[in-house]
Amino acid sequence: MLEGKAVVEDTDMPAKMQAQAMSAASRALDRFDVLDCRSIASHIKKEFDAIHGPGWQCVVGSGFGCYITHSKGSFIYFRLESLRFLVFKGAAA
Amino acid sequence: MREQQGSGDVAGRRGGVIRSLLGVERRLAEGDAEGAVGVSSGKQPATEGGGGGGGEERKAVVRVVAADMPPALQRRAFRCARDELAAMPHFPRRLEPKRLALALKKEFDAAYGPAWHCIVGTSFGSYVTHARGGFLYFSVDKVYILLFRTAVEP
Repeated sequence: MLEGKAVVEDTDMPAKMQAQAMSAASRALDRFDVLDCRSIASHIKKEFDAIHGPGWQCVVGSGFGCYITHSKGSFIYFRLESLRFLVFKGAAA
Repeated sequence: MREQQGSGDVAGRRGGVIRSLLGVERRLAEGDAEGAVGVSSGKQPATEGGGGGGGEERKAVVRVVAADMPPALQRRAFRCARDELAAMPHFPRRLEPKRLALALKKEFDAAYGPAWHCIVGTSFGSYVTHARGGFLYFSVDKVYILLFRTAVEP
């Protein structure tokens, strides 16, 4: 499937890391069905744990709200296709 | 839709962190969770539910999908979630996920220390790393709630 462009809604994250989050989401959507939110979230979280150290969290879906505490410089919320993605680090490594 | 985020300088991390894949069905060791009636598969509906419930005041049905949390904390989460949902508009019924997430996170941060995170909705999946004993995924009627804790240095 061809993905559209991701749109950042809110972030506290360096630009390079933002790009990594959105490209990880694109790759996950290539690999998993759009309804398989858990696998998509798993893919993204594991990639971030591998690249940037442990403690990352990922939520994917079309209908959710949340309230979290994140480490400084490690939060992004963006839209891609029909889904919304939240990636953040809950505890610094 | 803008998320309310509290920014925190959380430095360091203790051990005892467990990975938990949502959707894995686990039965509670303790069977005394208040209001918990069995364990469902936790499959999320694909769309937002818009149906209005009946006019009767009845106790909301709480189902625990997966948990790694002491029973007392679970009961507190159930009570807090029920109270907040009951206070939300009923006609037309409207879910305010951020309000519920905020209430739960604030209560647990205050009662049990930081850092708690709460996700509320009708259609989402997630993959998280949580502190030991700090994970609860449950539903109240058709609303799914994920509450978990990440370990921080005191």
